[in-house]
Amino acid sequence: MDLFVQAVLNGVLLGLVYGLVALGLSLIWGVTDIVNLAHAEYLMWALYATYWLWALGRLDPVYAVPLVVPASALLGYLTYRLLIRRVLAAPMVSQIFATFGLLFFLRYAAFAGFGPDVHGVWGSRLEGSLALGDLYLSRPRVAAAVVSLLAYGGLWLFLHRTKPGKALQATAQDRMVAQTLGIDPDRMFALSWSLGVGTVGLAAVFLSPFYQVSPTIGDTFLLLAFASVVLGGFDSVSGALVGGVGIGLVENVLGALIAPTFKLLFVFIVFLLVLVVRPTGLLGER
Amino acid sequence: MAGEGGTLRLEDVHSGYGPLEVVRGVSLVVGGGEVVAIIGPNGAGKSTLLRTIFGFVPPRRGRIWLDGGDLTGLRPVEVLRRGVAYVMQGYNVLPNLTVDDNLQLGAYIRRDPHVRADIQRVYELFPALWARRRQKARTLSGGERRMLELARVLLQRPRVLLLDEPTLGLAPRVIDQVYDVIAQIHRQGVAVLLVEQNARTALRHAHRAYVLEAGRIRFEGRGQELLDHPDVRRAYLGGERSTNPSATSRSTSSGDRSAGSP
Amino acid sequence: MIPALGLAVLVALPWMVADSFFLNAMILVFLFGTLASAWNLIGGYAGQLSFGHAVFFGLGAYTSTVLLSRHGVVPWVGGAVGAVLAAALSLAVGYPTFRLRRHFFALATLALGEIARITFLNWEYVGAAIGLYVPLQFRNRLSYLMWDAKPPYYLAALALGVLAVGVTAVVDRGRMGIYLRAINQDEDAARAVGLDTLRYKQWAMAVSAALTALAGTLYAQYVLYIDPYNVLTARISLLVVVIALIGGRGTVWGPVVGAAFIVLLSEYTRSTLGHLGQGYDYILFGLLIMLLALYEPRGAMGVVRRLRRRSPLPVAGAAKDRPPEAEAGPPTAEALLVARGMTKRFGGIVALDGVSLQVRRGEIVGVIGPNGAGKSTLFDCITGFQRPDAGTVEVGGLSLRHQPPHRIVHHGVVRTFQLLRIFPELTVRENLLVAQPHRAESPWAALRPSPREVEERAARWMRVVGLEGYRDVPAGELSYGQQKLLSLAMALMTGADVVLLDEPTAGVNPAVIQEVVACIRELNRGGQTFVVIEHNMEVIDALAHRVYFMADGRVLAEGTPQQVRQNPQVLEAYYGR
Repeated sequence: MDLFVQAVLNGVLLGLVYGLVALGLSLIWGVTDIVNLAHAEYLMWALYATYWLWALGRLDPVYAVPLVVPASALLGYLTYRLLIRRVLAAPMVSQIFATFGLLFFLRYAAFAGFGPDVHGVWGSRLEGSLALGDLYLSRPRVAAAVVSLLAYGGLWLFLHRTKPGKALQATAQDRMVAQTLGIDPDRMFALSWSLGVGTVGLAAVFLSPFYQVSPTIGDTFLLLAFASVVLGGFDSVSGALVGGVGIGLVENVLGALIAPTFKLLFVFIVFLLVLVVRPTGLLGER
Repeated sequence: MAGEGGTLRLEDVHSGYGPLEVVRGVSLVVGGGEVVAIIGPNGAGKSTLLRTIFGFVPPRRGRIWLDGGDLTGLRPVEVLRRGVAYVMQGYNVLPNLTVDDNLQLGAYIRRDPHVRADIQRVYELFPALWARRRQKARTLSGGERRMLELARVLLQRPRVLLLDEPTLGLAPRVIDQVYDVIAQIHRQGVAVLLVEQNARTALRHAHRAYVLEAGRIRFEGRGQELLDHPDVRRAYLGGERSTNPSATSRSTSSGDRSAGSP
Repeated sequence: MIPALGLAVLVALPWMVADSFFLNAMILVFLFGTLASAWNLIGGYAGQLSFGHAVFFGLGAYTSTVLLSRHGVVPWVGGAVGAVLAAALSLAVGYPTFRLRRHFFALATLALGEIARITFLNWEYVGAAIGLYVPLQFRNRLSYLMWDAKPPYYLAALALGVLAVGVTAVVDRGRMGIYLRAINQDEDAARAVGLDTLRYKQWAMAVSAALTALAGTLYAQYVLYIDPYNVLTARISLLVVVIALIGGRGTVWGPVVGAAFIVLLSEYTRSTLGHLGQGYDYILFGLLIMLLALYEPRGAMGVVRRLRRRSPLPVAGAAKDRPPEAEAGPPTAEALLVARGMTKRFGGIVALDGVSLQVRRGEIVGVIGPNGAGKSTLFDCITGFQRPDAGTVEVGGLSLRHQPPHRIVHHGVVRTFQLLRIFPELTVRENLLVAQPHRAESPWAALRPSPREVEERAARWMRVVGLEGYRDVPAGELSYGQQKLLSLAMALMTGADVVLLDEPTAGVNPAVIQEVVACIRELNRGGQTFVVIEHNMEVIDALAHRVYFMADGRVLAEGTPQQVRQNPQVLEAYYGR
């Protein structure tokens, strides 16, 4: 029973971080209608950035936030300006190629720069665990989950309480109508890419104390993020977060109940099933 | 709260999509304080003409002027900033934002301090919207959505307003309300260019009308004389072609007739 | 001649160059050329991007190796079993995901790759993470596909590559290639002329998977050791896509060119730069793909084609071959197409509200009405593009209920679209060939070129609509009016009894309108039945025997154009009260 409760707790904690990664994917997708296959490569690069800041600069991940998050946002902005902007009007196949080429480029640039080895941050300030009766919660995981919730809350406030946030929503809901209101779609697209990749940077910083990085982690995280979006439905950023928790629960609970080595297998099978049964997402409206 | 009326002038405008040329040389004038209708059968290019004025479709030839300023080739955002607002055919509300958010985005381009007060005045004009201000716009009825769109346009303080089929799909009672609002907008000095397929309705509410057929302006005229014109009838309903070209009426006067609204 | 000579050189190469590094590189070129060619069938021609082809590769490698090591089955049989399994798996994945937008298919295949990797990593029977050794055999090398020198492997890989290119060439030259490219460009338009698009995509996917599995078997026999890290890795899936994209998707030689370029570059940078070389070439490939996405989506072969390209100068103004002026007489009383009580709601809006319509053989029926009357929705519901909430459609007494669009074409009802749906990158002739009758056609039959009588029919329709001078011009380069005429010719090419035309003259300039009208009239004199949605009343007057007037989803009036024109309800709907 405790094992089960522990698995549920772990699933929720990790799922919130998946939700944060998925949030960026969903935001970019919703606003620009482009599925960024390179989304998880940004996560990999941000993890490396955090790792090298720690390994070379002795900077604790907690303090890496003001460096890694803006750098990630800048990377997202540049991706939009230099690449995405030019394929917005192109056929979907060209859009897929463009982000696929980017995936390849970013992944093997990491390979060339950092080699195939696995790196991890040790001894972060966050390390340790919290005891909750018989249950143990890893402090880095709790911190990552709390930060994910805070980021989600911040993004929610931005989208619903500020003028640029509402303009962003307007662009996602109807690009033409947004333009009749004087909203410049180009600026909104750039904003969505900056925010979307910035949140990935934040997720990476708080994943770093308990998640090791290598150049090939992208495939798994792309599928996890995509599965979260599909599970939660495409119509809102809340969907991504709920979907992320769902994916975290599938992974941890089924993993604990059946076999930990197969935990990702369950995630991907659930993802395929959702695609087949309800391609608009289990919780989505459309 | 609306801005001063402007004069929109088109000179030999051509536009279309890919190999298809839809607007084939349109020249027209909408003076300050005028309500002008563009009527004509489906596929005549009426909507494309409005899309071209607003900058959604780039003109291939010709010029578009607002007073002295050149609008030709500007992006929609810039056209709006110069004072031309546009309500497209069909739904223009943002379905998953609240009524209040929709109105606030109506003032998106404004930087002045009167926005709050203006929104308050709009709510006074449209009490039904005030009652629903916290609801998502998708929960509104068709008539309420159209009212929200028109209320939102007021907040943009346009000098020229483009309306594409403002009454399409609405119940007769709502159609009257819509034209009441258009008349109010017009009384504030805004020049209105509206597209209607329903010729009688349009001519009852507009000072003047242009008849567009196959991308070109065939006639220009006023009220009943245009309605009774055999060639206009033919454009809609077919039949024998009129042999009397002199029947084409011309009128450039503006403002000498009320907009026909109460 | 040149390919034969090239092949002869390639066959002789191992005896001319004995360098084993070079031979190894060439074997990899052939293997990856095979993989990329196989991927190209589904990803290039049909435009369904798979990011999981390593699964089929691994399945081929594992199946033959397990059968050999555990049951002593020779790899010839093991490879065939692997190919069948891979094809079956690809159908199981493709069936549900082909309905979705393209990136869903891409991500579903990526997920499939991860599922396979995790499964094999933990499956003891197939060696789990440790992998499997291919048991060494020292007798009867050909049956065991196992040699101690490189040249035999070289020849085997070359043979497989020739097979893959050969299959691609057959597809490219037969009808199949045209069909797959049509599906890639506009799947709905392909279904509208009667093509069972799902079936052709599945065929391409299954053949692609089977070829990939064969390459997997040969690879296992070559390296003699397989584990999930070397045959089930996402790296292979992605590399195959990269090769096909850089070489040129949707072309016969593109994948091979890409494989030669990429594999040789990789092998040589790796040997000269050693460990440092890892990744640099791949960075370059990533950059190249981004550049190609921006500037030349057709890859290297697209660049070649662009350099060679001559501007097409069609012979204009050739005499038209009008259909014979057969005296068909007035329409018969036989009701050919009958729709009853058609109702369709979208959310709260009723687009069709109990519409009934009857079309007799040999008639031209007009459908008119203001915007939003439900005219196009009626066509959608008749032709299976939308499912009506209520109502029935019968053709010659046969119910079309719940039939998919391509099946409805086979039953004799075809439609055109208001917004033109043709295949812009196919030539005029190819567009017409996509529309040939598909009723009794199997994918295997589609590997052959179109029969002569079909080509002749296509030529005849080109003459009828005056496009014979544009036979080999891409349809996207025609004027709008010509594209409209082409879509009319395509509808006729299907041989359907009833042709539904959605605004055949909208956007067409007046001179061409006369041409379209004359063409429809003469075809009708030859007995062809039409239903025409049209706003131009002159066209309706010139064509229609009878007219249905629709407004707000209902039929308000029916009769001759004259009668309908005088109906007060019609006047009111257009003019207002």
